[in-house]
Amino acid sequence: MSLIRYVARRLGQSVFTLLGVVTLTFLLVNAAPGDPIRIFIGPSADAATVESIRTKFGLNQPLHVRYFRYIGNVLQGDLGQSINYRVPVTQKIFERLPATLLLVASSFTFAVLTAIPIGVLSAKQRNRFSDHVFRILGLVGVSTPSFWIGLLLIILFTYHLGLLPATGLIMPWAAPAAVDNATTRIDVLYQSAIHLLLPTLTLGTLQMAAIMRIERSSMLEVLNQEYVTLARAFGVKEWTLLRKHAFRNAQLPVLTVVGLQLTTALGGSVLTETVFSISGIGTLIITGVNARDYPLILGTTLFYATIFVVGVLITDLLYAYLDPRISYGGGDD
Amino acid sequence: MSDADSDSVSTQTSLAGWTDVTAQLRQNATSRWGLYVIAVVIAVAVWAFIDGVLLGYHFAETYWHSPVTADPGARSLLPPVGITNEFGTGVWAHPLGTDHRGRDILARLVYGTRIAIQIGIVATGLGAAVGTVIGAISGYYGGWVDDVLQRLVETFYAIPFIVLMIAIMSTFGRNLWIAIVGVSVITTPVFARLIRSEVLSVREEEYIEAAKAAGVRDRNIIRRHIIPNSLAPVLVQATLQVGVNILIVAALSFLGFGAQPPTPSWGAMLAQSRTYMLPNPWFSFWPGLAILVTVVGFNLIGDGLRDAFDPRLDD
Amino acid sequence: MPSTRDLTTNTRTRYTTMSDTPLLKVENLKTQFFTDAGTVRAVDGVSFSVERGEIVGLVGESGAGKSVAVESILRLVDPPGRIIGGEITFDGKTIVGFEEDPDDTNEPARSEQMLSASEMRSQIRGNEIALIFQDPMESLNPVFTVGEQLCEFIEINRGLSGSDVRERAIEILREVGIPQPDERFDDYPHQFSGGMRQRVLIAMALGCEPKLIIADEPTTALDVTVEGQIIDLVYDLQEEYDTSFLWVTHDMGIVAEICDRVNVMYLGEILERAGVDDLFYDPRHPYTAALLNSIPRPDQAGELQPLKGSMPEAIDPPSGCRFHDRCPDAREACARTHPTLRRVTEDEQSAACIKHDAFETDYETSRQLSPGGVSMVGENSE
Repeated sequence: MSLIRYVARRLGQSVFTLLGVVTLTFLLVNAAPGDPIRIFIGPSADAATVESIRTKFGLNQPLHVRYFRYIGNVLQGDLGQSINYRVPVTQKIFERLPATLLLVASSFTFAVLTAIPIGVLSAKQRNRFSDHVFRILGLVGVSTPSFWIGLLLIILFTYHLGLLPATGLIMPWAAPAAVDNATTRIDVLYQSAIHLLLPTLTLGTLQMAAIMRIERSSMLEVLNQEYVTLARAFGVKEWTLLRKHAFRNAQLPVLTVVGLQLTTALGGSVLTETVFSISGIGTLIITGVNARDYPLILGTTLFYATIFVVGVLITDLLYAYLDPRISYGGGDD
Repeated sequence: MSDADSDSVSTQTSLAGWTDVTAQLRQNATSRWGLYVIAVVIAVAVWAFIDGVLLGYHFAETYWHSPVTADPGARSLLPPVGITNEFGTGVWAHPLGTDHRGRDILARLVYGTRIAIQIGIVATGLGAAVGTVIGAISGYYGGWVDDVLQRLVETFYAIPFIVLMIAIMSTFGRNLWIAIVGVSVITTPVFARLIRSEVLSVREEEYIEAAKAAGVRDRNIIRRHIIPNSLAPVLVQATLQVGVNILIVAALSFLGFGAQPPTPSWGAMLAQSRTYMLPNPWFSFWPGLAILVTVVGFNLIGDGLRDAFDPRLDD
Repeated sequence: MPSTRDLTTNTRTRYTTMSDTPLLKVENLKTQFFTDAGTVRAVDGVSFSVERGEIVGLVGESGAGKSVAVESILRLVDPPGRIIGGEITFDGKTIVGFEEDPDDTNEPARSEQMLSASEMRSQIRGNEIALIFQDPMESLNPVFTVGEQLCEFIEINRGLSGSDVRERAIEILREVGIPQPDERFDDYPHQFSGGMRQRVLIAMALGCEPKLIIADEPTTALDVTVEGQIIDLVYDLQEEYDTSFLWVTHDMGIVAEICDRVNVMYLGEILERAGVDDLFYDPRHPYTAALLNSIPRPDQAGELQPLKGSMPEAIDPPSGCRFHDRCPDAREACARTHPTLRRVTEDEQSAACIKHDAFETDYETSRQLSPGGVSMVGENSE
């Protein structure tokens, strides 16, 4: 089918998925035992106060009423009010978003920029020493818990070497006055960078290793194809073979994995933010869970899922665009 | 035409393939090591289950160290043997050191194996089983069945697993069986999608048409022809998935959503070690290493299986 | 000397004169694969040649080593394979050559004249020798248009650039019979049918104007009707460009139709070599005869007689004559002695079979007796 129809179909599916996510999370959260109001106010409050607050938050309505009301609100961009923080959930999310975005973007970039060249090189140097080294690194990289890497990095670089800080992220655009040890804009950039380094490595290592492995195996598979052998038989140079003939074909499966890594990164950011005490969305959701802050839990989960669904959608569309077999439709075979 | 006829053919071919695969697996050096590592880990886990769950740490407490209570007079945060820190010098009695409560780290690692393996394997098995059924039905029947099931699967897939796990556990409680169910739930979509794509290609094969023409019932076709022939990637994925799930379990324990204290678990140990990173970094080192070694083992076997099933020669 | 085609009867007149300076000369080529399971002697002392303008067939069952021989000619043998002996010369250049190996170490040093890897790439591959593969779907890169791939090959091998390449490419596409070539230029491989794709591969080979085209089972994946069209196409092109062909196949029917001379390969060795008519009407090696008996022929009635058994693995060839365990004419000596390929008729037909051992002696004797005359002894007796 043509590209337009494919896009339309995928979009439609995504909407359904998001609806499913909202429903699922809503059901999950509301099935939880424990009374959020009690947790919020404390056990000493009297019943009347509890009831009035419950009404205020609309928690006394039946389930399906709350459900549809919630959907309606979501479509208007209202994710409700956080019980714990007493501000709109959306506000809380946007407050914490920059830190998480910075972390994820940074580690993702690191992962892709290192993994792809290494993967290609590893495939080219197949079975030689460097290939073995890279493969071992890749294996260890996907097998290591990211939070352990974070802890070890902190032990080494913060405690033993005193080089890098262990907590917090500083936005590159922050005002110097708000940042310790910074008097100029350049100082802020520097502080931002050194605070970002260890968390990036922590979150990015697993992604890097996963991408590297798929890049290598995909390149090897493509290099084995007949059209590569034919090109070689016609005198194409090895480097051109690698760069032009093999690389483009190999990226298609890599793209799928890269897109999938996005969700791993989102999940992993929770861990990294915890280890480095970063005030991002990851720590927000942990706080929300511990406080039984239903709107917050719902809102952040929905937020995560939306990002994921959009990410997968973009990946699929990119894939369809790049693979002429999909975008140009079938042949006359 | 009886089902038995068409049944025996596919079983024969699978058996022939199996011996070849296991032989290749044992020949390959790296997957051999994986097998050794996992054999040791599983043995330890079984022991930990027997002594820990069934016998209440009887053997550990009598002949070694209890992993849940410190020996009387034990010193906290001791470093490994031969190293000295502000709390003292390491001793052979506690070769890897002690934790913040004076408990022997090695003993806790050993008994923590149980949680990792139990959740990892059981959850993966459950997820694979359920996912296979869903994926097979989805792929075989296609149409609206496929669409509905796929949306369902995607919904679970769309929520990052940590978030989903946290949501599940905060709703239903933070105990071991909830954790297992939760991890199964996250694992199911992986297998559903995998099986579905396998089934989509196997479905078009001629022997399926032949079976249909012979009048074999749909559910028998799925059960006896489609599933066995799609097994290879499932096995590979299952092995790798155990490793992934062990990492997830460790992460959840780290965040406080896993097995509750005093049950030893590697992730929880790492969380506890955070406070003491400066005085005793070794506390942080060993549990992570245990996780790493275990997951590497499963990955080696998984990779080995993948190579063994691949008809092309690789290295 | 080129062959000509009689358009009225659509038959080829074949010339089988051999010269001293063939275009391609393969002598005693040995290529082996060193695997964990053992050493595979895929090509074990193979010699043949291709003259200018000739179409030479290389025939054999799957696994006989034909493709490895082809890879060796272009030096595309990948590890664990390696060319370990023999000589291949092309148009005066040495593609494969080794120094003397008196100790028979199986690891002789490369000869000085042997072309380097980059010389192979820039001088031989594509511009002098071009390849046509069997499976056109696998041989074309799916993410590039047909035009892009064609242009790339023409560009690097003929030195054209820019719009010249595009023009030439479209022209070649037209010549191989692809309709509306200027539009199809921008299509992707999956948008072509099987037969059309094969024509694209032929276009690639021809566009580089090589002296020799090696076709490795190019019609195996095609319908018979399409196959016929491709063959006609090859005839026309061969006449026009006077290209030599090395045609690798297991299909005797194609051989009968196209080839001037044929080499029959079995388990890494050439068992018979003859002009195509001689091969079909007077096969001298039991294997060739058996092959011909196992396919239907319009000029022969009677039952088909399939060859018993199947070709063994090249890792562990039978002793003596490699065909002896399947040969209907085998004698006791066949398991012990390894026959060499030698001439068995006056018409430059050679076979590797001890049945014909007496011929050479007789032939030589008779030539001595009547120099320059026709041999009195003639046909060998059983």
